[in-house]
Amino acid sequence: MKKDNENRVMRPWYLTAGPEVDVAASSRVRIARNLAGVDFPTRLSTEEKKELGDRIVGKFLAAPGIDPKDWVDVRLIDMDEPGCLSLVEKRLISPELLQNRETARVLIRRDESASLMIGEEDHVRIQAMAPGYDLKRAYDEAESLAKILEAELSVAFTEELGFLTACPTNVGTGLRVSVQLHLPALVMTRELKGLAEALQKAGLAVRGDHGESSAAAGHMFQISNQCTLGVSPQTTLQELTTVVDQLIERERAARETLARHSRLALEDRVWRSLALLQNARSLSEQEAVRLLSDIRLGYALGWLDKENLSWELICRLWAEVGPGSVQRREGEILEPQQRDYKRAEIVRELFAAEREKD
Amino acid sequence: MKCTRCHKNEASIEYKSIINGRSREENLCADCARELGLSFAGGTAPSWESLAGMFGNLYNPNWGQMWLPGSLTPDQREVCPHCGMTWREFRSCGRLGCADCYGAFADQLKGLYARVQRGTKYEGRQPAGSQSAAATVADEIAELRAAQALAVKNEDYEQAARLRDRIRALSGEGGSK
Repeated sequence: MKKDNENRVMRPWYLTAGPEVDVAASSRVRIARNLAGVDFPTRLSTEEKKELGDRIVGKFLAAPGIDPKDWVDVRLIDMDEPGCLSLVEKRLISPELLQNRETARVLIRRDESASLMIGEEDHVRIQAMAPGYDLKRAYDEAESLAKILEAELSVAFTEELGFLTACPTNVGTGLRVSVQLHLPALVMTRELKGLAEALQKAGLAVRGDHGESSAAAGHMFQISNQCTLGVSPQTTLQELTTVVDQLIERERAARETLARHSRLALEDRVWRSLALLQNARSLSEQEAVRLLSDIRLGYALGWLDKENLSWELICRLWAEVGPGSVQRREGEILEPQQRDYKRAEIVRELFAAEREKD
Repeated sequence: MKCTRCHKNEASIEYKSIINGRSREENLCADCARELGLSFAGGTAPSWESLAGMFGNLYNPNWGQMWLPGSLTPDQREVCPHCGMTWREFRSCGRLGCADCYGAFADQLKGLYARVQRGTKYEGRQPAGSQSAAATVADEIAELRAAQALAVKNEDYEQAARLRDRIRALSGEGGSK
């Protein structure tokens, strides 16, 4: 990220425990917009894409209600590989944006709770994130940023179809709302598979977080809407809320069942995972995420609350174990084996820092 | 993808032919297609009509993974007049080229909406800002003009001049937008 004198250090949004934190990790809203009179990115030359970036960034940062000091302007071409990867891990940019690295640009709010991706599938993708289950907060934030942009630059819109997007699956509201849920008990009790199928039939998507193999190990799932045309933003939010409410309740019920019927086995697993995280000298990403999932569950159940743990530490650990974040901390590209040593070291350091806080 | 004939140029034309019951797939560059006598001028791709005429109705794309599998119907040969995107190209990459594509492929997209969307009519707010702001300014100018005309009629030239200046100021702002 750009270093300058105005680089204010802000506490990242994800270290705060949000509503329903025992099950809900975060809420996210993404809004797609394209400028009127400019072809969609597939039809633009490299030069045109760069110009587009300058135009959007210039207008947005000069808009009323925007303090340019709150935003960091990043051209991905200027950023090293680990830096880019860590932005993907923090979901500030999408993997697709990284594929267009030469022209891709992103504005990131300093607390990392919002970003504007420029030069992805659409001209601009605005996203806002909030800790825990707080779709309204993320939605209001993303909407207010979208409105600021629309007031500055006229956007592709028709009365019939709404906001026009490069992919017709986003046309209309251009809105994708999602909640990231930690569902270890529904996975262990094998209820999730059936639920996921039912949700898909209801027009919602259930995905492993980041779509990576480590996500399955971490029991993190993203529930999001699919439709953007013929359904209002309010209905979209309401429908997702109804489903997420139920999933949270089901997960809690499954945890209770597990705690009742297999308390010893589950407790043993949670404690072993804590010991491994605190002492291991090498951790692969997948293992780290699996262990973190266990202690997240144990902490939510109240079993580990006297063990120098906090939601902040759990959230921080989760954010720091990705390969991009590990290498970015180290400042260089590491071989996988070195990376695993480094990851274990970072995890131990974070536990130690938490102990010193008390 | 490289041309399957010269292995040098980028392929821009894909077709399937069935000859004596054996199907064959080719991806040709514009040059090779011309050499093979596919009639079209100036290096532009042949129309689907001309290809279909040449090979019979044999074109059977297999890129319909997500939507509308099957062969091309006449209305799927459309080309966006603004950006040149063809419906076929869209089907293979899943991205439209520009806002005008929505008009050019309106009929085909309706079929897609039926599968992946909830309806065909937008539900939501209008874009914020510039347009409505511009409308407000235009309304205000119109009101001022009417007042100015009235002032002139009443021979209140001072008032008319004041109104003229305000109209100028407002139009100036509108013009710089």
